[in-house]
Amino acid sequence: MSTTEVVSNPLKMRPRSARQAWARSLQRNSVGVIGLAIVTAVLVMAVTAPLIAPHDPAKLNVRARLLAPSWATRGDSKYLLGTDQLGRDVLSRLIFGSRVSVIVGGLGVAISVVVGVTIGLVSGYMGGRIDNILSRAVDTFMAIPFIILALAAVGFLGPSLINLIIVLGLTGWVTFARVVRGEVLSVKRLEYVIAARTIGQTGWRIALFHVLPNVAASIIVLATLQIATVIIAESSLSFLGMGVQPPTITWGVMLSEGRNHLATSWWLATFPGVMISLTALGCILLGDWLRDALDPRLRQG
Amino acid sequence: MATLLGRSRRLNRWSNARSLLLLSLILFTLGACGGAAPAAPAPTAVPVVADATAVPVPTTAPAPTVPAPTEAVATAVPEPTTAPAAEGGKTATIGMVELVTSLDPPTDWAIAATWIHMNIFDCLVWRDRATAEFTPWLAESYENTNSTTWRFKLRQGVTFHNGEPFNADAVVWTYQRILADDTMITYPQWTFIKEVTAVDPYTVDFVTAQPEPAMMSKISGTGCGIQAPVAGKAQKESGAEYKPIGTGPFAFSEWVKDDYIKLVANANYWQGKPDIDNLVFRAIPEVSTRVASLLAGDVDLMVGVPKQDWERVNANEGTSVEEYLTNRTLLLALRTAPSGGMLDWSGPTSDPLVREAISLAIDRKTLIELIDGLGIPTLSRITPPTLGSSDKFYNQFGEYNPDKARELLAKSSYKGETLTFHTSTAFLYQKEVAEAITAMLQDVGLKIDLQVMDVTSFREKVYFPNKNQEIYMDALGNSFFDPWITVKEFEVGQKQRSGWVNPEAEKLIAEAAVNMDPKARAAQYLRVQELINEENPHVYLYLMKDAMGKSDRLEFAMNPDNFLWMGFAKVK
Amino acid sequence: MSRYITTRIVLLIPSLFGLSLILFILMRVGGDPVANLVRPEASPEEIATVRAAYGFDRPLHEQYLTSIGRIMVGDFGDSVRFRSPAMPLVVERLPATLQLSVVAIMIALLLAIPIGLISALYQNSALDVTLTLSSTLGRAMPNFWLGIMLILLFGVQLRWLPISGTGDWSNLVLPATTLGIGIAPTLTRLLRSSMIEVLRREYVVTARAKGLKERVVVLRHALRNSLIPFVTILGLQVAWLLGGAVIVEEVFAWPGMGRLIYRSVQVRDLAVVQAGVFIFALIVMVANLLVDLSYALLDPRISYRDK
Repeated sequence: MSTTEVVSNPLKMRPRSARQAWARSLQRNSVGVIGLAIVTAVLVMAVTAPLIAPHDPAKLNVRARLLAPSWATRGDSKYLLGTDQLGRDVLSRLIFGSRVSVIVGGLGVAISVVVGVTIGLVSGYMGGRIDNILSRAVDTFMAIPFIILALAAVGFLGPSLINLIIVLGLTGWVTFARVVRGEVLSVKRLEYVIAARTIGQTGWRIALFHVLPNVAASIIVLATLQIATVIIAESSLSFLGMGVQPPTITWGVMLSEGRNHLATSWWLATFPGVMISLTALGCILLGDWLRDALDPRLRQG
Repeated sequence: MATLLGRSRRLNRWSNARSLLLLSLILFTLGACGGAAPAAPAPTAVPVVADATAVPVPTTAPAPTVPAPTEAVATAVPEPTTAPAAEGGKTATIGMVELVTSLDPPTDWAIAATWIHMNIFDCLVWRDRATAEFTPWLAESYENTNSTTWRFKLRQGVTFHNGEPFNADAVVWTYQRILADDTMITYPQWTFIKEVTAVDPYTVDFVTAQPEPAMMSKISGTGCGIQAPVAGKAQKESGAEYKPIGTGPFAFSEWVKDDYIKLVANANYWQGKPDIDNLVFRAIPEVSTRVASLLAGDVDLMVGVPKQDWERVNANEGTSVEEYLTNRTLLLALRTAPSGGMLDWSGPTSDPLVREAISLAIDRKTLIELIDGLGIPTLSRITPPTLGSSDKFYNQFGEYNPDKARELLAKSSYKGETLTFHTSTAFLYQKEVAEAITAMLQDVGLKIDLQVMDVTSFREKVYFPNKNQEIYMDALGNSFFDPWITVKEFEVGQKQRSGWVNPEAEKLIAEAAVNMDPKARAAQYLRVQELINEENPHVYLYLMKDAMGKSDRLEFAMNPDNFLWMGFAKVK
Repeated sequence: MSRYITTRIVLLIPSLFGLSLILFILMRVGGDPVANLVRPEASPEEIATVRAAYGFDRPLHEQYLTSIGRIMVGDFGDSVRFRSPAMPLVVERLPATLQLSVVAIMIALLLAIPIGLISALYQNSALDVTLTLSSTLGRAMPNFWLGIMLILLFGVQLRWLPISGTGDWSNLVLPATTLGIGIAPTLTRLLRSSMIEVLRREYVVTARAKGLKERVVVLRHALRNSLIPFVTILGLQVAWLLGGAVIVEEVFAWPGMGRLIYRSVQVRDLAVVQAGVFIFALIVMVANLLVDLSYALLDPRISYRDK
């Protein structure tokens, strides 16, 4: 609800030269630039992973276990960020791990968006009893720590990557539903929507062509923030022993496996930890900036 | 928020306050509907320490017959007495992964639970964990009067924590209680007892259903702790909460679930009062936190120090690491035929050549290196000091020959099908070893689909529905130190997971189960191990080692398998 | 007003039934509690005995209806792990979790209010950027990692604080800080943006024009008016906080509800999970109610008399 308030109807009051305003806000908001840069870098890393990874990320080498980064004392020149407990190259694993993070974050949030927006649209547009029931569902989901639900669901489905994406997607839809419903309620009363209805357009056409574009900005902002949440949730599930399992490489798995070596082989947990934090940070900063840029009240002056 | 209406300017503070009151009332009513007292949220401690005045039955003249419990109940139920006098004495704290789910020994078979139970309860005999021999404990002597009858002479003058005397009645009560409840997790392991009777106040006869060569192992198995009969019967009748009352070196004082269990020294312990006044078991599930707690002096002893922390613990002043052998063997189980939940299975491992190839593809040397040397390679689950163990299988790397494995595969019926490999992550290094084995098997040309899951999912999706496919990995223990349990799954009628049928092995297992001649019995198990190694329904990897971290403050002679019995431990 | 509260609580009930159905499906249909109640060597007959003893052999719909019937009268059933009633197990843990959460919120406020204020007053300065970045990092770091690093630093290296378990207040410092650092950034960012907005408003401009001291303007006028969205977010953070408590309690061996529910999910102890989630939901709901009520205190224009 608060989110609704902050990002309400940003497109409605757009200034004429939108592009200029965006550029100006980005210029002014150096933090947003950092966020954008981080997110872009991670995306590039994920796309080019096979090209830039120095080693095969899955290649075991028991004789080269737990080597320190090449630049650290007792490091091995072949491994820039050292090797893990099975002698695999940490850097290559980090690079390939970015793919899973991008996939989990992207697809997980995509599911949340689809489910949340659909429910929000239906709930806000239909109103009445359906709205009541759906709102109750939203309230209920809001009230349960989602990690608990995710744990129970992963236990049920089994800890594969696909299942993890589905679970994280299905537990993260509530915010979207809530915001979209709020937006729909206010947009519904706008003149052109009423006009569209009087000229005989069907409810679904109105929802898709009039209401949805109006909430797009809020959804983008929320989605960016949600990606951060999902990436962190993935690592938390790994910590609790319910995350993705080998041979899939994820930063969360690397971090949770490396945590027991934190005091001795610090590079195992530190690098994936930094990657998770940086990526999540990038998403949050980007989301914040988008919110500022899209919110007219914060943009004036 | 849609319900927020900004129409009225009036602020009714009184109404707000009233609602808050109402709200908190509702919250507490709902919170309390499970029956707990909301006013006492802090977990309460129930001290049940011995008090000379609470003795329910005269100790000087042991009743010649079983004390009539129903009469005694009303007056004789030992009331929880005051807090232990030793409060503030010497305390030793042990950092565990997990505590118990029950303080009633036969209902919780986890090894960690047994460690805690055995400080409260004594059994009839004590198992020397280095030699697998038995020492008289609550029983002073025992004899095998005929092939199915065992007579135990009991120690006199021992009392329970609540002052009840230890006698034949206590022994009978303890075992009959288990045999009367088939929902107890250890029930199946006690059904070998047909009858248990008190001959006189200090003599008990056990009658087994058939000749029982593993009698002594089984009688000291999980749940063997002798319980106070009068209090136990009263508890059962009233349906009150179970209270652990034994004769052990420590008496139960306090249990805050998943946090800690506190025991206090039993001043009347028959082997002398322990040096430790307060023994605290604390649950610290996260291993890095547990190590940190030892280093910082928050705990005196911790289980499961990972190898990478050994140097740190040893370098730290006042702490050191001690390594020990567990009785768990990590193994690969290969399905040989359809059975259990896989009746329509037809996988490549039904071909003995494929199974042999798998066994040849495994490089145990590399595995031991991978696990930081924390294991002893073995080709059998029967390991010393258990009867039937042999140097032929134990401490052997086995044949590693990838070329031969490839040849065998070429000769076999294998045509590139995918082998499903299930494993859980229950044990240290299990995930890493599974990944390494997958790589080894792929190296000889097998297609492997590795499926790693958490231990509960593994149990409910693979293990108990018997839906294991070609390969699964597990670490199986032998806390009995007797071979029968290691081959139980190859008995007739127990093949839901392996499907392995070998008439010779079946015959030997059945005969060994009732063979009272240890030598001949050992030979029978030796032959079974040979057959397993020929046909490979199991491919054994290594016997696991583990380590615990100890503060110099604590003087504790560790058992070879880290059985945490603290009766003789001392604190500085 | 009290009708408003009663309505909200009544409306929660159907949701909780929906919830119990979801949990039932996840843990009974998908999971098998018996898998953790028998030894690895257990034969099918032994498993069947245990299954029957706990009533898990009955048709699933029947099991669900029975359990719902019991929950209606306040009986959440028995924990299969501890073989004792589930609700008291949860209630026993409630104080530890509440303690942890309340202290975590206090630490979060202590961090968020000054940082948010300074960031807003020196908007877009180097100081603002530094503060925003470093506080956002608190949310971006997985909290188990942060917790372990705090342990290594303050528990092992410096030995200032106890590492795990319960004891006196000092045991609470590390876990509550870990949890607090996780929610502080959201509060900081929100306070910063709402302060920026409020500081531009007419009455603040007027107050300044009237010659009021900057300190008075900021604290009395601007801060107070920024508090409504702030409190809203704080209410929404409660669910997040309880989720984080699961992990923080596990890292620091803090005997709270989060750890209990996590362990119960692991062994499919449905009764405890249901009871625990029920209490969690109740806490979140009560927290949000308190937030709604606090609006009236923060802004005299809002009242609940009409609904």
